[in-house]
Amino acid sequence: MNDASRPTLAAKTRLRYDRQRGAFFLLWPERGLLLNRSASDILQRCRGHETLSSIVNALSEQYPHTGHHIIEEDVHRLIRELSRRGLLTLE
Amino acid sequence: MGERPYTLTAELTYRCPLHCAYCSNPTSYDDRPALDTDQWCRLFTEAEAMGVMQVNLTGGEPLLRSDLERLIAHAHRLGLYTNLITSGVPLSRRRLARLRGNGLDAVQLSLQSTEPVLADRLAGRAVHDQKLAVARWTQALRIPLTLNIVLHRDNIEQIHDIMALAEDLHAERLELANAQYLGWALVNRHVLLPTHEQLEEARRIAHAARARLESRMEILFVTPDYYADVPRACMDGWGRRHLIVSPDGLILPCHLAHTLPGVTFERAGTRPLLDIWEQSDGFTRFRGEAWMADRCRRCEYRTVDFGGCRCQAFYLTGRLEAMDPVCRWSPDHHLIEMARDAAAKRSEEAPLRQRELHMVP
Repeated sequence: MNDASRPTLAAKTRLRYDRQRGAFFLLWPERGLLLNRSASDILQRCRGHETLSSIVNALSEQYPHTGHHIIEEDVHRLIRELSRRGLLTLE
Repeated sequence: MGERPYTLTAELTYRCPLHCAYCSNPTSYDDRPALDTDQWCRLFTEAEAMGVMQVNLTGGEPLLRSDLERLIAHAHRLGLYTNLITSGVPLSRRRLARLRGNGLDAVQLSLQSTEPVLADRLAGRAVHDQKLAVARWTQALRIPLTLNIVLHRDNIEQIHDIMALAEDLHAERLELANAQYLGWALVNRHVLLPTHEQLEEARRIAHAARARLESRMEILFVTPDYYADVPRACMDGWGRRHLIVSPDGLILPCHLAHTLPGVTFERAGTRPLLDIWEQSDGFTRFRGEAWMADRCRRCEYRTVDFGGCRCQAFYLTGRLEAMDPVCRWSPDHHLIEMARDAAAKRSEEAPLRQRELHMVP
């Protein structure tokens, strides 16, 4: 994984907004993961078009009161975890 | 907010071309008319409005419904994640492509064994080659594939080969689902239940593979609760997460609930689905803790296993409110121990009683 990697959600997954909870879920067969606000902001950008560094930069703009390195750490941690679980690939 | 369903399992028909001796369908049922296309579509719409996000299209064999295309298209328009749970029989590549085109998100294909002869014997019909073809079409059409194999005494030792086959077929998920001894599997339990040694060896191999393959293939190993000392959280708890609908439209908390005597279930379309979920006898009977035996109400695991499986409790003890006998603290736990002992002692081959069914015309 490096700054030029393009994280892409796995084909079996789908992001879906849940009106009842007012939050996104990451769905795959017979499973679902409730996402917090920042996780859903990150995963909506994991379509294979954006690089890791551009995702971090976009999130930094979106959350100007959070330090860049904290955001970078969060993004990396989420992507590493989902990639380990096969829910996301790094192109 | 109270409980709300996340998943709708639509059992589109109980008919099936296969005869698996561990089928989880009821061993007998009223052959009432099945819901028609519009009734299923209305049900999907109502379920989605209640919070359902996924729909499992299953049976029996859902491919026997000629309106499957329309049902998938409707579910897809509602934004539901659609998962086709199938034996792959009967299916052509063209139809699979059409289902995908209508919005099908994923296919879960059953296999019986890696050995064609045993596979066809277990299915009661020569279908193994067709299943492999379906797996390859699924991959070629880039549809995410789950392979599901029900494990029992005759195939549990093939677990290495099963995983190799799943890798070869590029499955994204592999469900190694030990038979749960209800429905037809309970009828055949004396033949199907593996020994403790068989199970532990399979578990060891599956767990090692899971660590090795984690990022490529999700491997699920479903323990048969006969070899657990705590019950499984059947359906994640009664009326907590799941809606099951039988082919004739009964709204159920689990796929065998309507076989329990003295519990009333209601039919789709008779009143709003939300009311059935929240208020009906069938859904409220075993929701929460009020119904539980004293021992369970005091138990720290009551919020983990939700009192286990009601069908198992009833089918083994004859009492609906009994503790699930899988629980080590159940006064009926010896029923489980006796079945394990019998599995350990059995040496000779015994015949399986294959599922009898309404033949496909």
